[in-house]
Amino acid sequence: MALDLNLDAARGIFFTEARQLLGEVETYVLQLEQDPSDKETLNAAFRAAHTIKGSAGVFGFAGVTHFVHDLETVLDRVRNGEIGFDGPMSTLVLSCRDHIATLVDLLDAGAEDGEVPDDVKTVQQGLTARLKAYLQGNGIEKTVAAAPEVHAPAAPQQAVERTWQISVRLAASTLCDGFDPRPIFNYLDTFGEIVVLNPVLDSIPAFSQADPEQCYLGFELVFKTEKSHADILESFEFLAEPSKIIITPHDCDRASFHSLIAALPEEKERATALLAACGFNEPAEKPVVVSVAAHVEQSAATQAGQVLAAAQASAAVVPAAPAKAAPKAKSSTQSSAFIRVPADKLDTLINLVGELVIANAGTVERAKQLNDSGMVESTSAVAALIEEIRDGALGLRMVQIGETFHRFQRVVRDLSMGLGKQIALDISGEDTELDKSVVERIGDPLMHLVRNAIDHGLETEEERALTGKSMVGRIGLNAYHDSGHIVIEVSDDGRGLNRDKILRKAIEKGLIPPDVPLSDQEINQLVFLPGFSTADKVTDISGRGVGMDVVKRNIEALRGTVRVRSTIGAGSTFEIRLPLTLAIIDGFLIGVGDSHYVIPLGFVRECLELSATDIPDDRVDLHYDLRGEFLPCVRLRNIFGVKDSRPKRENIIVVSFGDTRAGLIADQLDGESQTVIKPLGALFESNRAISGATILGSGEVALIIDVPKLISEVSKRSAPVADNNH
Amino acid sequence: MSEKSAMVHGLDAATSQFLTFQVNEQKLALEILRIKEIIEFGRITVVPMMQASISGVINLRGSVVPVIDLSARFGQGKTQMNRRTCIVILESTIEERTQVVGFMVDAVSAVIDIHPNVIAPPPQFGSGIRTDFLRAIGKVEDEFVMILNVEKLLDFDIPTNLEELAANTHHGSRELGHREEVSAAH
Repeated sequence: MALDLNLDAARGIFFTEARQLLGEVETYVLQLEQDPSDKETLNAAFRAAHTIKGSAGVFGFAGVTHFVHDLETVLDRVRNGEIGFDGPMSTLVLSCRDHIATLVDLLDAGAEDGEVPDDVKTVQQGLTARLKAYLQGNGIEKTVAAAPEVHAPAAPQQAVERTWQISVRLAASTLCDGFDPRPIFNYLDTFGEIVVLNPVLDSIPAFSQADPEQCYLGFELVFKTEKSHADILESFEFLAEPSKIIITPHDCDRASFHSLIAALPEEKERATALLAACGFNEPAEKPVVVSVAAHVEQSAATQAGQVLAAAQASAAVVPAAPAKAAPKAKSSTQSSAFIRVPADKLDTLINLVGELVIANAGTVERAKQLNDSGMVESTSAVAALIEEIRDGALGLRMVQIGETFHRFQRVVRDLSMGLGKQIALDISGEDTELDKSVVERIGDPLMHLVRNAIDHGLETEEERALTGKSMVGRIGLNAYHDSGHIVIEVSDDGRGLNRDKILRKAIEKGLIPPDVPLSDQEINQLVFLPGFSTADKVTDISGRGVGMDVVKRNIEALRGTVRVRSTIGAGSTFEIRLPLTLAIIDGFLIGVGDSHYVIPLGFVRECLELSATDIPDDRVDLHYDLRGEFLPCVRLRNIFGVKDSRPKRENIIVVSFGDTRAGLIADQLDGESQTVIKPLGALFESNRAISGATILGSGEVALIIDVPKLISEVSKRSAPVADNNH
Repeated sequence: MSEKSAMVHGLDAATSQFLTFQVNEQKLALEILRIKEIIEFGRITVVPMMQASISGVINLRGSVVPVIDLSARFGQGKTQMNRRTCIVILESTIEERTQVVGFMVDAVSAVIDIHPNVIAPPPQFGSGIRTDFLRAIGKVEDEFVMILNVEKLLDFDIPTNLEELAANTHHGSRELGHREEVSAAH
C-alpha cells in the first residue's frame, strides 16, 4: 500500500532527524553548563526533545515517546524556573540523551518498539527514577502524570484519572494527504482507555455523489486518562487543518458544554444526541468538580482555538516529513535555509560534471587545432562556465568541520570527569570546509587522537602543579586550508613524546632493529607502528597499542598523511593533512617517456628547466642546487623504468608536503589540468607511486602520482637496508 | 564424464559455450558468459612499478581498465604485438569487488560449444602453464583447449612461474627491484 511505503521512507527521515536533534540537545546542554541562565538555549533544548517525542509518537515508538516525555517534563520545569539547572542535572540530561540515542539506534537496526536488551532496560530504569526524583515533592501537577511506564514500574502514579470527550471531525482531504487516522486511536490507547468510540457518519453523502478519495468520517470518543488536555491534543498534532479536534472534560461547566455543541458542525439537537450517546449530558448549573490543574479548565471555545492554532502550525506537514512538526515551525528561521538532498544524487551530479570537464577539455583541444579564433573563444567561455559549475557542484558537498569538532566537547567533558583531569578544549578554524565524505570518515581517527592526547598527553593535576603548569590542561582542535589540502591539528600542552621511551619500547617490542640511527622526527613517527604503546598501564580509554596504526591507516585511505610534532614537557601536536575532496583534483600534467602523469597541484611549488649538464647522473636518487639549497631529486624516467634516451632538456618540479621538499625530474611540462580521479582498482592497490588515473581530453589515460608515497619509496630504496638488493 | 563432474571444476553445466583464443600457439578458452567484449589492441598506458604481466591501463569509454599480458603472466615473455593482437574484456571479482579487466591475447579464434563430457580436470603438468591458472581442460576437434581460471590469474600473490617463486623466497620481501629485474630478463 502506498501509505506503508510513505511511512517507511518517513521512518528513515525520523531516524536522521532524531539523531540530528539529539546532537542539538547535547550542544545546548553543554552551552547551558557554561551559562545556566540562558533561556533561549533552554527553550531550544526543550523544543528539540519535544520534537523527538512528537515524531516518535507518530511512528508508534511508544518506548521512545514515554522516556522522552519524562525528560521533557523535567526540562519544562527547569524552563519554568521550578528546578535549577546544575551540574548533576546536566549530566542526567546528557545521559538521557545518550539513552534516547541508544533507543533510536536499536529501532533503526530493526528492533521492535519496546524490545530492548536487559542492560539498556536497566539504564532506562535508573534514568527514569532519577528524572522522577526531580518531579516529586514539588506538589502535584497534571504534566507529571506518569505514562504507563513499561520498563519502570517503580514510579508511583499521582495523577488523577479524568474522563474526556474527544470530538473528531476529519478533514475531507485527510486520506489524500496520506494520513491514516487509525494510529492516533492506537496511540491514545497507550496512555488511557477509550471507553466509547462512536463514528459520526452524518456528512457521508449519497453513494452516487461520494468521492472515494475523500474522508467523510467523524468520531466521538470517551477517553479516560491521567494525562492532561495538552497531551491528548498532542496525539492529534499531525492532523492537518481543517480537521477539527475538540477535547472537553466530562466534568466541565455548562458554558463549556454549550460552546462544544456550538463548535460541532452538526445541528444543536443532533450534536446533543451524539454527546448523550456517549453518556455526556449537559452538566448541572454549578461546576461539579474543582479540578486539580487549573489550566485544563478552559472553555471549549478557547480549546477549539488552540486546536486550530496547532492544526495551522502543522498544516504544512505531510506524513512524509512528520519530524518537521509543529515545534519546528516556531524556530523556522534556522531550518528553512536548508534542503535535504540524498547524497547519491549529489554524487551523480558531481560525476557528470567531472565527465563534462573531460569532454570539454577535448573540445577546447580541437578548437585550438582548428585555429579558428572565434571557436577558441567560445569554447574557452564554455570552459570557464563549466569550471564554475564544477566548483559549485563540489561546494554542495562541502561542509564545515565545526560540527565534527563540537562533538568533542562532550568527549573531553566526559573524559575529564572520568580521569579527574581539568581540561579546556580550544576549538579554532571551525568554519574550514571539506568534503562530506571526508568529514564522515575523519571522526574516528580524530576520536583516537583526542582520547590519546587526554589520556597520555596531559599530565595529572599533581604532575602539572609540580612542573609549574596551569592546573587546567589544554586540548586544541584546529583546522585550516593549506595548498589544496585541509590540515587538522590535535594538540595538547601535556608532557610531550618521550623520545628515549619510544625508542626503548620500539626496540623492546622488536618493531625496529636496536642499532639504527633515527632522527627525532622518525622516532616520533614510530608511535604509528602497529602494536606500539608507551602507556605503562592500560586504561579503558587507551593504551592497548591498537589505535595509532589504525589512525594512520584510516587517514592514508583518505589520501592523507598524519605526522606528529612534539616538544618534551610542552606538548604534542598531531597534524592530519587531507585532500579537500575525493572526486576531482587540480593537477599538474607532465610527460615522462611517452606517457603522461599528473602531480596533484597542491604539492607543486615551482618548476625549473634543467639543461643536460645540470644533473648528469643516471642514478635513482640525485640532488640539485636550488638557489643554494640542497634539493633531493628523483628522475622519474629512471624510477618508472622508461627505456628510451633522455631528452636534451629536462624539467624539475619542486614538490613539498609537510616539511619534506624534493624535486621530480620530468621530460616535459604540460601545465595545469583539472582531473576527475578514476580509481585504478584492486590490482594496483599495492603500487607505491601511483594513486589513481584520469582520462585526458585526447582520450589518453594519465596516471596520478602519489607524491608522499613515491618520495618515501625512493628514500627506502636509498636507505642502507635497501642496498644489498641491487 | 557426467555433468556432475563438470560442476566439480567450477563450471556450470549450462555454460557450455566458450570463447577460444591463442597465446603463444596455445589454445585457451574462457566461459562466454563472463566476457563483455573484445577490442582491438590500441594505446596502453604503462603503469610503472608493477609486475611485467600487468601491461598497463586502457581507456574503455571513460573507465580505466587494467590489461593483463597473458603471455607474461604465464612466464612466457611479453606478448609480441601483431596485427591480430586483441584485448578480451571480462568481468571478475577481486577481493569481493567487481572489477573489469582486459586480457591481452595473440588472436581470438571462435565461440565454440564444449560438451561437459569432454571437460576434464587440469593436468598436473605438461600444459606449459601453471596448474593454478587452469580451471579445466577440454577437447575440441581432437585438439586440447585449456580453460583458464580468471580469479587465480588475477591473484598476483601467485607468482608468474616456478622460477620466480623460488627467486622470491630467496630474496625475501623486497620484491620490487627484483620484479623489475625479472621483467627486464624477459
